[in-house]
Amino acid sequence: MDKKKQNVAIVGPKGGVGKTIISANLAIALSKLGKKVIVVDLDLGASNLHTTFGLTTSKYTLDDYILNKVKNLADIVQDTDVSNLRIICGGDVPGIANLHYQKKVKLIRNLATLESDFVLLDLGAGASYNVIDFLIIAQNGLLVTTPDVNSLLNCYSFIKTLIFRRLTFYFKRAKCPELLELLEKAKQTDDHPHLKTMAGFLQEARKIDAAVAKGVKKILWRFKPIVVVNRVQTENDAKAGETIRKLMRQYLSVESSVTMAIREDQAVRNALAHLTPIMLEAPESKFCIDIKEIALTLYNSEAGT
Amino acid sequence: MSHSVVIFSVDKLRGGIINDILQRHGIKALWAGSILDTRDAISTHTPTVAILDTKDSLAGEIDFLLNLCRTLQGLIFIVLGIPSVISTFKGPGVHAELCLADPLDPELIVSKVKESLPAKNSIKENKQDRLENDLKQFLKLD
Repeated sequence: MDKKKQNVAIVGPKGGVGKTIISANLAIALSKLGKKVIVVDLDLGASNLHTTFGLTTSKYTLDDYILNKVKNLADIVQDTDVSNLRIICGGDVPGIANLHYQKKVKLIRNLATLESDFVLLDLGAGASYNVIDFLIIAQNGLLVTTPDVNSLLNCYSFIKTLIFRRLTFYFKRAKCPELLELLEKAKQTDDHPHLKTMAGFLQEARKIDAAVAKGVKKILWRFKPIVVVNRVQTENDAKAGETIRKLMRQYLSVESSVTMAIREDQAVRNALAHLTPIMLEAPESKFCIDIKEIALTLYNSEAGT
Repeated sequence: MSHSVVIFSVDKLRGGIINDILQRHGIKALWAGSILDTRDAISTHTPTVAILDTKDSLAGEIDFLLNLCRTLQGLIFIVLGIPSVISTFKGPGVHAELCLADPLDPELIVSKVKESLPAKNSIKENKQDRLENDLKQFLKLD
């Protein structure tokens, strides 16, 4: 496996949390660090990443690939005005949001072949399997939330759904229907309160198949989501990510999550009005300073430090 | 808007660095570049912590700061500068572990400020507990 390449899926379980703005500017920040970056608009059916770059037209979009008008995904990658940064614009043909499984697998495989140091996937809102499956193939997940309870709830639920989806794949591959059944029970915690925590689930899973249960721990250990709390206005807001992190540790046995904060900044709105990425318009703004910190975190994790 | 921390530093760069890193950690801070502004800021915002950067301060300014530390009750001081100057600071809110000799270490200052905001931290903890309890209730985790 190419150790240098890193796929980063950027997800906003609740819509309108600033995921696309973060994707665009994070891509620029990484490119400014000298990394080759491709940012892909995978907000299928509601794509607007190109607008944050001020692109009004694009020669190719994801539609051309989905509709087999072009053979390779690499053919629809476009240059931007930013050095080292290229973009795949999103598609909006009717039905694209419900991408057929085979098309999705093909797209996922092709994403893995793109030549770049970083491939950022700007995914749609919600917790549909389309979104979750793209996140599963990426090495890194950036989960964007705001400090609001509603958004935090969606964020936690998304992570839980993601883990359950990942475990479903794993148990199917391990040909272990009993564990699949146990996983189904764990979704109904009112009837099975002892399965409310992943620790409780693992305890039961070990009784069924200790070796497979051990694999679950490995999967959870490898899962290192970065929870980004956007639009932070107070010290308490900044700590909202810590609460999610604590719940992940306590109930889902996810030990290695990272939480970061992005401060509320009027400059973002100004840049949006000018159809210019804020990283180009106001690189020293609070928002950009925080984005650069996230970029450095990814950069350092890519460098293996 | 009330600020938890007031920073005095005649050095705009050092004051700016401290102010910025505190803001980045979600701590409301206000930098003042003069003695008069510092006095006004403390009087207006009644902060919990005052950071006094003595680097490049004039003798008269140091005297004012020394007097501030001796007379002000209920305010915690973090004193920065060279050892021979910061060691002269005494008062109810001055503690040896909060007198930090150069070079400037912004991360250390942040950690000292966080340690020095117990009342606020306790309010923050309560808010965090409330958020955690709300989430647990909605997610049916309890």
